[in-house]
Amino acid sequence: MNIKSKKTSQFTLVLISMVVISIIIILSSFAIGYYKIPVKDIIPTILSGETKTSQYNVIMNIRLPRIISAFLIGSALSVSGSAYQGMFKNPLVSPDILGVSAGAGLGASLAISLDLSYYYVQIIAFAFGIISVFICYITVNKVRYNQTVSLILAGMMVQALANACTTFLKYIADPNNTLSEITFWLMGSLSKTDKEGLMFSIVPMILGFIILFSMSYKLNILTLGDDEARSMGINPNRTRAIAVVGATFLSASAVCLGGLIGFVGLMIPHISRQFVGPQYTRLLPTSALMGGSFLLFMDNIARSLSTMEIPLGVMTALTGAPFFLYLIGARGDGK
Amino acid sequence: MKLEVKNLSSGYDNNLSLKNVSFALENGSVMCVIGHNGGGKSTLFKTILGFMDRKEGSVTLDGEDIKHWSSKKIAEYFSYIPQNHTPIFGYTVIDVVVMGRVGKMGFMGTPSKKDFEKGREALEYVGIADLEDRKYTELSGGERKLVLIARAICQESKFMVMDEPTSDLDFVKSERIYEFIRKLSSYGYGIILSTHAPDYPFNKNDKLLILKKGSVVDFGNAEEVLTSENLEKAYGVPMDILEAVDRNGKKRRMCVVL
Repeated sequence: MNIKSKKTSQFTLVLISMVVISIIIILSSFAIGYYKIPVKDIIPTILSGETKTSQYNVIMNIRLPRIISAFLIGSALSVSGSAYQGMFKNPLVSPDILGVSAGAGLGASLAISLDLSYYYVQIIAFAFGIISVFICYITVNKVRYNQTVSLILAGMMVQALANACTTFLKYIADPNNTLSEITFWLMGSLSKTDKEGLMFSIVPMILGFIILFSMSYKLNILTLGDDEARSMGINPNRTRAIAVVGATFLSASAVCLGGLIGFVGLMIPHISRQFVGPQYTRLLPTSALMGGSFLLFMDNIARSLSTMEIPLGVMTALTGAPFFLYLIGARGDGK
Repeated sequence: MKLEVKNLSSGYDNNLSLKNVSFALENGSVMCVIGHNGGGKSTLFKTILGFMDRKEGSVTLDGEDIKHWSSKKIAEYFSYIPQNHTPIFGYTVIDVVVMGRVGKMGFMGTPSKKDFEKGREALEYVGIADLEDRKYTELSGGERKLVLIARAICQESKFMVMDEPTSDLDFVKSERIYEFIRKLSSYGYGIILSTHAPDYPFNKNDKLLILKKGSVVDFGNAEEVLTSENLEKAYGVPMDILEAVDRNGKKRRMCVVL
């Protein structure tokens, strides 16, 4: 068996395992919750089309949007994290490197302060996330050499600026309702997810997936640095710009759908690399499935562990960090 | 195919680190660039390859200026072996080699079976076929250089630009790289390399370009240009060239600082 088919069969095995795990988690997610639904009843209820039964309503209108949202957010953050780590040649990079999360956080805080509906909170969060990345890019547009370092620095500054504004908004917010709402949004939650919110986020998210999956092989070349990429016939600035657009669509739509959920975009790409290696054509699909099922699993725990829902961002960090530490210790370098 | 560089100047901002450099090279021949640290060797390579903008001068291939060529078109004619290469992720050797063919793929392209065959052929050519499944990051410095040479072969460009291909290598491994350079030129590749060893084992027709502070000290056939006067001009210290015959009867030249 040659090297390519050996790797392909290993990748296929991982992918099939991830699909099976994802299906199990998705099915169990329909069953878990305050309103108990036996697993064997889930598919018959969906197929029955009996829209007036409470079981059908819980499955289709409450749990389905939340399950799809959790899975997509996990996938989007993991895929964009993988892409950012490659294009910035830095394994410690997470999807908010260019200020998309900080920007979205500011947008959401502003919208909540203005007492706008959840739908507008999403739109404004998304817009602010995109604007933050746009500011970074405009700032370094004229930089021809070492654009990567300039971009990361610009990202840090935009993050600092957005976080300062968010802190100010929290400072002046009404402590009885607005402040807690902003804080809860910033901690990440899917408790307000509905069909409309999902429909708004799904378009840029799918666009982001298409962009990054279609250029997945080129992302490998960006990890080698600009000069080497050029010498192999790739225009690094243009390729990176396209990748940033794809990754930003993914992370901005994920943030505006579920708030700030850290750790997934940093951790899942590393774990995926342990299974399928750094090659992006294999890494992106694995990250997408692993990230999706991980976040869905975490959301299930977050909404079922106690009577009060635990913020998702807290859950992902609490479970992800120790596991990641174990991996670094067990495998040497976490790559 | 003939590469001609005429009056090439470049540098960052108004600081010229390369001034009026000219030379010509046919594919199938080797040109070695020597000079002190910061003498303009890497800047020369980066300017030829289009990584840096040129301030003045021309770089032509068979008379056509490559200034406005896309990265993709330049990669068809030039491959590049960088001085330092430390990828952050542990790609396998065959994956690194096959990356050399990315310029031949479309935007959504991925390597085909043929690309992997070419990659494997290149690894066999440089004698490291047994390493194809190893992680590049776990290889020694010498093995890494050979992998990068295999990647350049896989790229199928007429000219190879090697920035200090023997830096960080021990004496024996450096010799092995030099052997490959001679072998590659005999197969029709034009090789431009820089080195800190002025006693590079030149062949009869090899060219030598000596740089000092970005300007040409001398250029021509290595046997004529490699003189103690030129070396003294380039390095600013008294130097001598010793000649000896090894046990195989081969004439050797060694450069020494007095």
